[in-house]
Amino acid sequence: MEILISPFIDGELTPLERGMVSAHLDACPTCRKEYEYLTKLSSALYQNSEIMMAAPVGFKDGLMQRIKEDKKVRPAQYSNWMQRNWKQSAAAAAAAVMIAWGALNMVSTPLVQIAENAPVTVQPDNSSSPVTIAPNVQNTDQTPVIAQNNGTVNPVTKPTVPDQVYKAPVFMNKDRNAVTTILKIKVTDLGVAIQQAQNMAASAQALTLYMGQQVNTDGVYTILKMTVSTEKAYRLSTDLDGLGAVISKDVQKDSLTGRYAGKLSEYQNLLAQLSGEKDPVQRNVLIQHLDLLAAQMKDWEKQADQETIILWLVK
Amino acid sequence: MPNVIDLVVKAQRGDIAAFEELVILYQDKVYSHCHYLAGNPDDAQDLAQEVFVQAFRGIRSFRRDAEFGTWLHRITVNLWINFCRRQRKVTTISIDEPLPTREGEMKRELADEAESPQETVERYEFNQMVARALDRIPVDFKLALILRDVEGYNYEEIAAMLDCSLGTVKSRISRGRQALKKELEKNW
Repeated sequence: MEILISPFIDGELTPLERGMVSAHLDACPTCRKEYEYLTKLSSALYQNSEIMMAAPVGFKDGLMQRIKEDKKVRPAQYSNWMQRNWKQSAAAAAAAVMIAWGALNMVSTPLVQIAENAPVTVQPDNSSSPVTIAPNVQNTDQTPVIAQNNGTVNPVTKPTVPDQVYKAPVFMNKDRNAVTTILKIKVTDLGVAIQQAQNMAASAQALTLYMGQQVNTDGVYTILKMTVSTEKAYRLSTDLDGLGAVISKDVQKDSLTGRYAGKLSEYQNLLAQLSGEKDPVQRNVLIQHLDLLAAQMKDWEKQADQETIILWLVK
Repeated sequence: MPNVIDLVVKAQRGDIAAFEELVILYQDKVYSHCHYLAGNPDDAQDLAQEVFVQAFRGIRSFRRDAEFGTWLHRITVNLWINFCRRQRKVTTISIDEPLPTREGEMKRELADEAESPQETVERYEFNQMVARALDRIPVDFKLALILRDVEGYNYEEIAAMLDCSLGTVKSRISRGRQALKKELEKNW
């Protein structure tokens, strides 16, 4: 039975097998525990993969240098045959964009069941005015259409799998910064200082995470990470200064704007793809990817609305 | 705001500046992905560079009705699989080696608002240990687990990508999870 737990988690069992395992997990606490642990492992792998890092300094330049050299060595590969065919490719690109726009703007005959209950706004491009899609998407009497770039409309069959309705969340492109303050303080009593810091954080409704300890040349630092709303950040930071002698205070601003815009662009492309995709398996893949992107953007939105204070305390 | 389709069209016509714009848009994402797969910054950088070089060389074969980020993602996974095959050794990191700094961009907080701060700390610590353990299990297990839990491929797709049988995939995933569990238990 233990052998079936992994494929059960991965959805790889037949319905009959799934039923058996499910029933067994209800009845057997040992297997249940194993199932929960393995699920936690899978989640960890996934969550860790979502951690974004900045490419190292100079990465792009090193890469472009290599590409330029590569181009010199392989001139045949980079011939300009595309230029001869540019009219066709430009038209194809335009058609693709039109279809996407059309699909997202079908107020009367939506191609995709985007909203079930709440109205949804999706930004079709990076302009500032959002577009509302009608929430009543249950109309089965009208055939959804795709707008072609030559002005005609073609009927399209609705996606057949009802449980693959995709609810597109709202994303707005704007200037976003993730602000991090690194505050190093020398204190007389570590335990008291930590307690006081936590109290200050609590009154600012900040989330405090214990990050561990780090041994530096000037002592053992205890590190706390606080996440606080932007409006309360300055006050909290000032309060924390009072814990002891401030060794250093650095404010770092990390612009998320570019990355967010990049993700949003990806997201919109995928959404357009989804609207034209009928195959349920493919739809599922697309929806999973959309969820990933949505989660990242929501995370960045959250980061931008909040500030991080990393408190280093040393005795 | 740069339009990805626009840049791709230009890059397909040989416009290097347009490709450079694409690199700027996607480099963090690709690098993060490479870093996670490769497990260390040096290999990650090599891999990431390779991804973009491949993308540049093959950009005219990119179908514009697909999504550029997904295409890069796929290139990354394929290159990494090849990379692992060439290496064919267990990648280990020493216990003392610090994990790369991810300050300000820590683990993605799930929508689960009900999680208490204490629970968040515990999950964070658990995830960190899983990250370390992942680089200590046999690379074949790591490959299969990542394709499954991170990339989201099903067993059949993984079998095709790794050029092995379905049974082998099942076994690697199952044994991989047990291996991770064992590594984690060592530290408690």
